[in-house]
Amino acid sequence: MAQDLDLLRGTLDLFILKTLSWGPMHGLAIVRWIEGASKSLLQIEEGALYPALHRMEQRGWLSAEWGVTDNNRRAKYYRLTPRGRKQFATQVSIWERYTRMAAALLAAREATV
Amino acid sequence: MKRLFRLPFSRARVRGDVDAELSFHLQGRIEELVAAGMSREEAEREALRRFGDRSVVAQQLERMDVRAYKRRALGERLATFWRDTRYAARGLGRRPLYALAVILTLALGIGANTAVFSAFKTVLLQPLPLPGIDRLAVVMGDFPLINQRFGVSALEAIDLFERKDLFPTAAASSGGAATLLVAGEPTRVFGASTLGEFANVFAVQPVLGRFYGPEASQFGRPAVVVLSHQLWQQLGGDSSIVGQMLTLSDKPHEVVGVLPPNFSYPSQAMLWRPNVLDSLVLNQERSRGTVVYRFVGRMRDGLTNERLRSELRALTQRWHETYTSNYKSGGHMLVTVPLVEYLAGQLKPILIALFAAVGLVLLITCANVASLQLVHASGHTRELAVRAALGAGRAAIARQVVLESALLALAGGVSGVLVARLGLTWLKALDVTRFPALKDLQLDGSVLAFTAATVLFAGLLFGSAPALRASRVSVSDALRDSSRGTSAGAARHRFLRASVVVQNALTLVLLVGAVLLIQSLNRLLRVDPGFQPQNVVTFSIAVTARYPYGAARVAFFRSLDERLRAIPGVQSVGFAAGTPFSGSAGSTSYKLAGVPTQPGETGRHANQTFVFGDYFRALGIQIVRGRGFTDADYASGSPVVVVDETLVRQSFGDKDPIGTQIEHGPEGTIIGVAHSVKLADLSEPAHPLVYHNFANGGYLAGMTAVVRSSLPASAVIAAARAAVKELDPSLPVSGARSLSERVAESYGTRSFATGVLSAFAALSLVIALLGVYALMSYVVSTRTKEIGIRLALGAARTTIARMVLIDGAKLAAIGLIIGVAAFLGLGRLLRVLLFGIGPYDPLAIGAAVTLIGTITLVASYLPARRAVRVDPLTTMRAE
Repeated sequence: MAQDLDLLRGTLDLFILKTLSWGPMHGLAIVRWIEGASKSLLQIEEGALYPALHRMEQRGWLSAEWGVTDNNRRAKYYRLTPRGRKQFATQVSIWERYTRMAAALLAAREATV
Repeated sequence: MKRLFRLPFSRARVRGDVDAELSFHLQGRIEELVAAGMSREEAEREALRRFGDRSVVAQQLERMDVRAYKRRALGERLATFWRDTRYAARGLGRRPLYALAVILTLALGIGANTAVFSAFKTVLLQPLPLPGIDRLAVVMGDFPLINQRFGVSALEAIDLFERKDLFPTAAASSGGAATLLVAGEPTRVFGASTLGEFANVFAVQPVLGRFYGPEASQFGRPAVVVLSHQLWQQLGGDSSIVGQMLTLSDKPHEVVGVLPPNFSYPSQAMLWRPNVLDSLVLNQERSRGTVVYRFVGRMRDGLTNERLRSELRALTQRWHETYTSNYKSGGHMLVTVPLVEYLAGQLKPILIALFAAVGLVLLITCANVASLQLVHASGHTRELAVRAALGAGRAAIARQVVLESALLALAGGVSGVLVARLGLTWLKALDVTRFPALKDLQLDGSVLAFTAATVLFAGLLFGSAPALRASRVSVSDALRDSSRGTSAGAARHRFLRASVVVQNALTLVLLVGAVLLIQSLNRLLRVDPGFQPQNVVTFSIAVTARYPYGAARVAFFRSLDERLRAIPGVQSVGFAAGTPFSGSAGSTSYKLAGVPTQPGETGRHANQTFVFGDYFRALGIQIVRGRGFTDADYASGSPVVVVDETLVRQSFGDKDPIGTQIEHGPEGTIIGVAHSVKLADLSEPAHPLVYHNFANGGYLAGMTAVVRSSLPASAVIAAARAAVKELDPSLPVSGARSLSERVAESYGTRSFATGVLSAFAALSLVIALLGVYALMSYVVSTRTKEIGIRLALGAARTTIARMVLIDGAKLAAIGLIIGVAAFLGLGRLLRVLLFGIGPYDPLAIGAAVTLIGTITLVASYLPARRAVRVDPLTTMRAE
């Protein structure tokens, strides 16, 4: 659904950072991991992943290098840089504050004004 | 981020990388789906569906990556540049005195070039703010017999207007001063009286109103006038002035327009009026002889100067055949000069000489800085070699040396602009009255562009040799020892020697030029002007129509004469139309009754002036034979004239001229011979002059009063103004000045140029001296070991000193020989500026050679003395 996508775009960076916090991965592996971790609830438009990756690389959050997969294919591997790791921590704390705030707000039962 | 190596950037590479990354993704998906049981086609479709639009994504990525790459590359380059610049600045900061000296010399060189270029541009490239000024040509009448050029006559101008094949638009103007009330005071205002399409030729757009057309010159048209911006301001600056009537010399004129402030042609004109031609002028053939119009035409596209010249020659030829009585043998020919050159006048050769001089100074400075930089670079050859050994590229090393030079050049350029501003204030003071273009001198965009180019040129000139040298440092040589005695050292010596030779040669050229100009000025100042300008004040006075031609005018000047003489302290008073350095004399041919042509006499043509009062005594002109004019001559208007010695020498030889009848305009009997005078310039050749009795046919409206007194000039001027006012408050007194000042002004430009050139020559001499000193010191310092060994082996100290001195003398000699040769080639350019001395004056050249030679020897002597004080033991241990 459209709303789902909007929400996703804002958080795609966060998911990528989370994914790469496990270790270097190529783009396809990142998609697979997000699918797996979200129990296939989140299906992203895969093409949108790559501009995000390149942008984050240019910001210095990720570094990229070409490597070889298990079955001998050339693939571009992304890894978190120290700056990327810091960024991940910041974004996680923002996200947690946001969800706590949203949860508290939605759980409120009476007007206290 | 430090990158050890990077593949070169290319768009194709970026595209390939993006493509590989996306293909890997899709391929992986397809295999996964096939493994999950889909058919190949289904799997491909599904993978693409999940992916989205592949080509859009690919393009987006490519764009991002290319942009990122470029940004990074630029950033890295800037960072390197900034780092190198800091290194260079720090390097210079470690030797502030050296840096300061170099920057100062460069500032002088660059500043002088900028200032002179600014003058050059204003005077010789764009003297008037008008498009296509290079297509404007002035046509003048050349009188070969008297070797003078005047304008053309009105009838000739009208004939030329017909020649649309030469000049599609053309105009002629003559001087036309007028008296008008400015702020209640009668004021004499210089103006122009025009014929033809003046506004079109000069493409001038009035800021108010309009400019009158060529038809305004027809007889019977209403009198109109166009004002200069300045005069308009003086008259109140009210825009309602257009349409108002203005009284010019007693005659009402309608103001039709006001011109913009930057327009001044003819120079200093404050108003422009149509020259109205009546039938008297138009129908008389003899009016072809009144050659007072400056003709300016815009040349037809494609018309060459050569073609124009030959057409004018043919036209003059036809005139000579048609109007035989007017163009007698020796009649004038039409010649043409580009307007720009015409306006530049005498300033052109001066500016060219100055430009050449400042160019030489800059070259000398560059040669000097180059050798200083080189000597310095040799001081840290080791450092450079270590850096080279550690892997710094030769380019990187050269870059640092270049940056150091660039910083010096830049600092020199910036301070040079300040120097140039100072220089411009001097140049403006040069002679604004004669060269009004000079007052518009400024450092505008094109001048600053020239400065930037000069800085770049200088930087390259003095930076490239040391940089090349530095990049060729031999690592092994430099590390094993210093570079002494190695091939790099020898090459460096060669460069330094060449630089000293060049500096000596260029300095010689400048110095000879300066010596010649100083000599010329000295000779000029010793010229006898033929009169005594000290304690004399002159001013112009023009009577109006209230004093009609004839007796009324004589009466007016008689009463003015009486009043001026009554001022306490005034010794003598005289009047003339055409006094030395204060006004222009007319010129016309003369006939002598019964005096045969002398051998060598080419033509009888003399300047003409009408005098009144005690003129010869007031000016201090000696009457060498016969007598001057007396009150009785003026009272009776008797036909008597005084001629000058030049005329007597030319036409009479040894014979006595007194009593001879002369026809020169008015006829008269020669009653006296006056000492010859210079009329406008001390350097002018002698030209015959005839003094006529003002009461015999002169009656000119405009006269110059000459007052000799023991009072200070300002007191005389004030008293004279008061006297005129008492006599007639409507008459303006203009141009009141001391005569000595006027005479000094006539050679002001020349003495300014001489001063500037001498200053430059002195500066170059100092720079060259420092250059020689630095070189010889360096040479001695690199040879300390050798000298030590020689001394240890028993060489006499004098032998060593002689060795060093001879080395210096050899370089000086080569430089001086080249310099003399260069001067022999260039010297003729100076000829127009010289007076009483030729460009190849052996004394001047000899003096300059001796001076530079001596200075070079002194500069080498000091290091030589240091060399012989070398203690053999210390030097040999030092290594």
